[in-house]
Amino acid sequence: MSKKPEKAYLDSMIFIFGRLEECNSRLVLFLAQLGEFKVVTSELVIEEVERFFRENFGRQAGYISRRFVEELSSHIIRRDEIKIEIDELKGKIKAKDLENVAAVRHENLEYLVAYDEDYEEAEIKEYITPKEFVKLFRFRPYDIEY
Amino acid sequence: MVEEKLLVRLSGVVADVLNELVRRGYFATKSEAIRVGILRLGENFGLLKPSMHYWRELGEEIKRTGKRMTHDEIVEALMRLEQET
Repeated sequence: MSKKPEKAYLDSMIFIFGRLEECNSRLVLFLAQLGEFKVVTSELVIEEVERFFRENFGRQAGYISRRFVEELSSHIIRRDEIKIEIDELKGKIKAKDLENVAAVRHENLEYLVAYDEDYEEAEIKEYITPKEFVKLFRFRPYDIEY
Repeated sequence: MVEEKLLVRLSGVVADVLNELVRRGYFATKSEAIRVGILRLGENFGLLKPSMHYWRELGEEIKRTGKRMTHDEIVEALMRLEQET
């Protein structure tokens, strides 16, 4: 049986879907809030989450969402830490996924939790869907992948 | 939900900081800045777990706006966001 993860990198979509829909991304966030695993994010994730909520629900929602991600994260990876990894990955994966994968490789993390077929196509070995991630904690997931 | 109404008199550096926080756009109003300040004190003194607080507050703020997004709208907004980023 798979070992429970101690740490995982959460893509911005986990925070967005997790707050807006009853789904596996929400279960991932609950597990994190319960302290079941440590959350790692990056400047990119914080910016994307803040921007999403600000553009769709207003400035205050943007600010609160940023604080939520910051408080839930045990470590936030800065852009200047991952320059080498970004250079190594350039051309191998889509530009939009570069920073996330570079951050995961930089921290040597086992899991990148997201729901994005591009990661699968690029054969990112750390990629795991929220549904599969929840299963690692022996939780019963929702049928949907995200 | 408990509700408190306070009349707070501020002067000097405290008033200056408050005005500056609103002027710079960190907070929409002075009341909002004071609310967040109190919550920060709560965090500092271990009265609340920050992430749970923000989780709940974000939910309330979304509800307050009255806006609802369908799954497709969320996906579309996410894709736009990724392209622009």
